[in-house]
Amino acid sequence: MEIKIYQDLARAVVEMRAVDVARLAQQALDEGYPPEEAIELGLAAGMNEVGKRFAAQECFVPEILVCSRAMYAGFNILKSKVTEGKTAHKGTILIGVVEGDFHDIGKNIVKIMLEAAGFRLVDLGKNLGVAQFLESAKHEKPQIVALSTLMTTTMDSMAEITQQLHAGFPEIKVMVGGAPVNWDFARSIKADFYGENVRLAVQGAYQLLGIDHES
Amino acid sequence: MSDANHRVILHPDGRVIDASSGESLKAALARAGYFFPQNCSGKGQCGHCRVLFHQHPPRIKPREIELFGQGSSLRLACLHRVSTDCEIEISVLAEGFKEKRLSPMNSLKSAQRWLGVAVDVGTTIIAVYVVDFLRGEIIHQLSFLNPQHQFGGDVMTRLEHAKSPSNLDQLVGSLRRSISDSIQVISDHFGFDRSVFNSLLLVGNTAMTHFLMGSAGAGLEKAPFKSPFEDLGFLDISPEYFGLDAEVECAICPIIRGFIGGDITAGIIAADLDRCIQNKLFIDLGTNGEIVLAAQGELWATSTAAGPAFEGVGLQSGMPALKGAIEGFSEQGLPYVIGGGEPRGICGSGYISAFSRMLKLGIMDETGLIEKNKQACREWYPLLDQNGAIKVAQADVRKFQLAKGAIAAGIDILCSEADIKPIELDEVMITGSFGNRIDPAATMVVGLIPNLPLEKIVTLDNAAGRGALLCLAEVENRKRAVALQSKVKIVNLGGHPEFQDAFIANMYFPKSN
Ligand code: B12
Repeated sequence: MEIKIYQDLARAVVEMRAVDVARLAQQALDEGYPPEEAIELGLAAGMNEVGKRFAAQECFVPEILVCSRAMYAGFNILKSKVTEGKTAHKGTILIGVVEGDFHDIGKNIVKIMLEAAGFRLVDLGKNLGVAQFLESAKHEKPQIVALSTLMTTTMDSMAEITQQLHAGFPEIKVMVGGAPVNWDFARSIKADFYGENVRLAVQGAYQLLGIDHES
Repeated sequence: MSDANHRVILHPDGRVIDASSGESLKAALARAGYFFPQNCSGKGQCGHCRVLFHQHPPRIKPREIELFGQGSSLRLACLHRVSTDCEIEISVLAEGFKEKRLSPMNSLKSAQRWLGVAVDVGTTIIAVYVVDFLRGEIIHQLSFLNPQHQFGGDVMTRLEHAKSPSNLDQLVGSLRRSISDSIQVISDHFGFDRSVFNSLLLVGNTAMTHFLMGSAGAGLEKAPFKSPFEDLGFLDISPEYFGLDAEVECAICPIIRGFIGGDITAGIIAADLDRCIQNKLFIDLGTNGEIVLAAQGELWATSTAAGPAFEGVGLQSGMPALKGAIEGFSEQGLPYVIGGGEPRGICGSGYISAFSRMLKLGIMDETGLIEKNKQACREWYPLLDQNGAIKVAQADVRKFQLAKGAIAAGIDILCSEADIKPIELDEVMITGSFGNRIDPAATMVVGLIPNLPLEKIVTLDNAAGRGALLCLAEVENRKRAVALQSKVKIVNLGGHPEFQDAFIANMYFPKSN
């Protein structure tokens, strides 16, 4: 089912037209389209396209951020009107940069893409130790914890956090990423998923929660 | 597998080395004294340990297909174990590394000393300078590859390696020994005894300073990046490590902060930044990208961690600035090849020049997107007469955008801390591993440095080595160096609220080309 206004929303996100996105979001509400559908089939579909282009290296970090600003312009309008009884999200993800590391730009864009895909994100920030992750895991009850690090020297901190999370919360899945991380390392620390880029981060989240999603 | 020995024949000189079965080819070559100029510690990433198999190359790995193409006989020595006799040719060897030669300097005359030695302990290359202070001349200089290279190309890998005590012994021992050996080589050259040297001054980044002192540098590898040597001035070190008499004055240049080392202290002295009244920017362009700004009589410094892209590491046709590397392009697009001859790859300054051409020719837009060519691939072949062996790939542009974005953001933030605009800079001084090869006009076209009149950009060869010599010559300069420990204001970009926006904005290339 292809609805014109959703396609227009998606295109406006990809083309970084924040003003148009806001206008179209309002129009969708006025015309009685369900807001959660406009988010999913309009905004999220647009960001999904941006993620595809990023993975193919056709665009880069700045474009993700500019498109996301356009996406949020619509999201903020639609979010508050989500139909009662429908949840606004597909699951909760806790995200943060591990202890000893301040590099957070990769984490920030992963967060944006996951949020755009419809997950609820709790961003803990950077330079975080085991205690902070365990504490928040207890309160936020996430399905997934996403860990990021950019330095080889802080990878052991990632291992430690993963292990403690698994020990304390066997039901929580841990996904990891960041430039020096790879699948071999992820397996060695028993992480549940490794994503090389933002696109795979989103696919990983779907996969870990067993959500069917064609991309 | 048996542990029988295999013969590895090296072409073109026919030298034969032995390797035991199952040994990594790179390790076997290293044992025989063949080190590769840059490395990623054996992860197949940097692509610098490439060797050409004369027959029966081992099965090609995915990374090699990516780098060399399916049918190639090139292999990465770090990815293969020796299981039979083989014949190979090594393309890029440390032998051709760029010496850190210094041109003659003023103000080295000193009545305080006679013969002194200054050592610039670089992460990659170590340079030794011998000065006759009575005549005020450098009488001998020599450079060699830092022996720690075999344990990892970059500082972080070595710090990680140093976590085990026996590894630390190797790192420290090999470093001190190599300096001691070089001093011996110099004495032999002149036919005099080591005892004629009456002073030795070493200079290096914080990690090298720690290794020289015998420390593992714990704390340098993680936030908050503290070093215990931050307020200690010149560090005394035993001359005996370097085969010198106990009474020889022997020290290491003061470091400023955990990520601003003695090489920067010395660089500030060499560039006279602490004495200037103008607005001057000093950039040490390398993996760590340290930046110092002198403005209104004050000094600010930061480190931007650009990554190794400027050294050609991780880029598809990338190679260090060695023989065979394209170091730039002429206005007509002809390559300048180091040492003449066939181009084998592109080094950092060559990439800057290539990207600048791509922007000017409209092959790439300001977002860094390469126009699609006929094969529906986003690639550019800078040489007309080559069958695509040397190319600039879209992924290379992306890596460069991160590196240059980080440096340019660092510059913006330092200027904003000092409350000046980048266009108010009176001089930009570029130093570092390719400091004097770089084309200043191209650096502005790609937006690495602010757009300024060309005459305001200067390059300086080996600022650290120069500064060390000046400190050796005059007690006054040593006082300046010590004063810098408290004088320089450090701007930490990790967690800086403006960094992300500045970084993202600077990933784009400037529009008006
Ligand atoms: C920007 C940068 C900085 C900035 C950081 C600002 C910030 N707020 O993040 C500044 C200048 C402060 C900085 C400082 C330092 N840096 Co720095 N920095 C970089 C640089 C240039 C780019 C990193 C980046 O932002 N990339 C862009 C993002 C979008 O990519 P990404 O993070 O990889 O994320 C992608 C994927 O990895 C993935 N992903 C990321 N996280 C996750 C998580 C999950 C769950 C998933 C699925 C996927 C995923 O998705 C993203 C998009 O596709 C790199 C070098 C380089 N060229 O990569 C060095 C680099 C990371 N830094 C490095 C170092 C060493 C440092 C310093 C310690 C250096 C120093 N001595 O000063 C300091 C200290 C930092 C600190 N205080 O913690 C080294 C690390 C080396 C190593 N082997 O450990 C690098 C590699 C440079 C080098 N020397 O080679 N740095």
